[in-house]
Amino acid sequence: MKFNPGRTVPVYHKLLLENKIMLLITVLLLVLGAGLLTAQYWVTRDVAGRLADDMLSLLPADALLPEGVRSPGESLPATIEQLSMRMVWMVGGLMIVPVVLVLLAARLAVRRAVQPLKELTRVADEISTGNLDPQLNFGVRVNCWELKNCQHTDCRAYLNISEQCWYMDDTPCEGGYEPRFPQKLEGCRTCEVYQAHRGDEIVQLADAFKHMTNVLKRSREDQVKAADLQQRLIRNSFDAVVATDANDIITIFNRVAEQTLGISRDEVIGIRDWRDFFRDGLERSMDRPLTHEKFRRVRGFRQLESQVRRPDGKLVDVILSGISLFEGGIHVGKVFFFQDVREVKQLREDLIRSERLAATGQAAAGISHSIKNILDGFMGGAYIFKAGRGMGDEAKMDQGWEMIERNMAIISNLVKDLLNFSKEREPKIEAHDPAELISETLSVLGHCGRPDVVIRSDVEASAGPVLLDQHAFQQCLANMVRNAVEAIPADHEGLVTVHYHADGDKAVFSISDNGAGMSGEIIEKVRSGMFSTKGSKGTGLGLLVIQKVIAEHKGSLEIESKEGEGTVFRAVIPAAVARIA
Amino acid sequence: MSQLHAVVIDDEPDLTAFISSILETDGFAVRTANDASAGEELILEQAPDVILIDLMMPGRSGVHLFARLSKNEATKDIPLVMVTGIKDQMGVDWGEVAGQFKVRQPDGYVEKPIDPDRLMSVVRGVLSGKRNKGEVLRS
Repeated sequence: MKFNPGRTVPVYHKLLLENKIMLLITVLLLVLGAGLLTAQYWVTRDVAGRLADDMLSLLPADALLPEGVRSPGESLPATIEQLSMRMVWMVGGLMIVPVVLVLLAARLAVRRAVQPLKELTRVADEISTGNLDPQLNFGVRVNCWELKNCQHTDCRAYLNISEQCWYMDDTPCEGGYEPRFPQKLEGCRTCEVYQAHRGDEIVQLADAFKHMTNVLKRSREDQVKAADLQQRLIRNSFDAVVATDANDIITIFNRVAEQTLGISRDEVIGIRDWRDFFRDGLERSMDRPLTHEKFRRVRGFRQLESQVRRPDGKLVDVILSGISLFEGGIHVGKVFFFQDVREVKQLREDLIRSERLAATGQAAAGISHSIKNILDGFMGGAYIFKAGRGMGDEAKMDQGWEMIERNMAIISNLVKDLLNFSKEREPKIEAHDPAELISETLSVLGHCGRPDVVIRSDVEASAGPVLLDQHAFQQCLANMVRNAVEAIPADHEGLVTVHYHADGDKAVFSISDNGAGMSGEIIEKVRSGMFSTKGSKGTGLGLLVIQKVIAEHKGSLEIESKEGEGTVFRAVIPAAVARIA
Repeated sequence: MSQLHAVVIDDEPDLTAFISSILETDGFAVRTANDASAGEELILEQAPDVILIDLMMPGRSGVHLFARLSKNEATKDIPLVMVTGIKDQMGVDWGEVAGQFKVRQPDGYVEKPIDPDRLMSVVRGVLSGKRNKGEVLRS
């Protein structure tokens, strides 16, 4: 229907049905009355005219006629006209009483006829305003247990006069009906109980209304249950849940959100904007599709380490996920889930601290053993030197002196490792020739106390310069070479190779030996740091220095080993740091 | 008196040289080895009067070698001195170790860093205990 604001609604449309019918009846009666009076007027005039004409014709021609009567045969004298009108008025007057009586009777009849419709209109009004329990008393109330002589005394419908049986679930009726309303209705319509209740169209309409309200009621109950479950899930979630409407105003704020953000939901819901609590820049992330493969169609982000802001300005570390909500392509709001990770972070830090303490303790024990061994070396060297001098044995004196020198070198390396490991410093990155770097390192190292082991370098001919901290990286390489030499058994033809090559965009330093090798378990321990395969002679510190230096260069340490065949330690430095374009 | 023989087993060559030198200065004939297997071979080759073993060695440890020697009829009565730098830290319960391996306890201990006088006093004590009492000296 076209909307026309200038158009006025005809009065007829505003009338109630009852009044419309009465208006119709009244009009009909008026038309009928008018017709009757008109007919009566014409009949009276005709009859009176004829009668007058007949009477005049009986008079002599010269008879004196009353004034106004011109001659016999002259049509329709005024008297007849008056007489006819008088008759009309008289009959009309007589008709008023029966007409009024008819109208009154009609009004009563119409009112009675439209009463169920008025009732149904009221019920429809109530339903439309949300009342799904309107009073609907149409049709005959039938007691199924009486009509069917039912013996199922435990049935919910038995002796139940407040509700008819076809609205109740799980009634044990014969006929294989569906157990639940409204599905069971189809079967119930053929049942004698329903048939006995069923009346005229008005009753059927009322029944349809009642069925409809029952279906709506069930549906609303299900919705309420689902909403209640949802609310309880949100309220009792271990994660904080915050949701907004399309205008970014918070509409859901659960208990954990209250605890984490230190503000009650009453102060937030419908009042605060989500951006009051979350860090800036998240809006852009909320518009991006999720990177997770399964959720590419969802916009938002997941499992992001972030912070939320409490009203007092304190920041809380959280793991945060956020999703933008859409309905039919229209943005309807946002939802955020987050977990307070302060405790987890604290535990992690405590763990790291205790691991560090344990590692420090282990390092201290290792260092003290190492120092004891060095001390034994010094004391032994001095003792042998003195004994040689006492005996005039130069060879013995040399042996003692060599021992002292060797242990001086060992303690010097230990001190270097300690300094390197304990120092927190920014690496001084500069361009270096890898061949030169390796050659210098090996010349400083000498034969590492093992003249029987061959140490050689093998540098890719086309290798360009690398960017690294020379001092730290040489210490790292020296430690790897020393470890490799020490892994070779005494009676073995040892070979240690220091190899350098560029692998794509990475610089790779490999130190391989043909020593004893390591088992998978030992490799794992070595990777975790603070472990030595040298028993009481090793501190594990050298390995820590290796790892530290490689980490400073943003690289990684790879270990390959096979028991009885040897080991390869590989320091891989990312090209962004390692290569010069 | 004939010359006494000693076998020193330590994976650290400097320490082996040091201990050997101390013993040699005191008149011992010393043979050395740098791991347990080589040391066992030396002992089986010719039984010494005293054995000095480093407790912690890569591969087979001093404890392992000690247990093997204690079970061997040919070597079980040779006085044995354990050289250790980690006796206290390790908290080694020799009673428990002996029970586990069903062997006797070592006859003496020498702690690192090595004091030559202390080492010789332990070695002499171990040897005299054996000679005088016909049994090993408990340290």
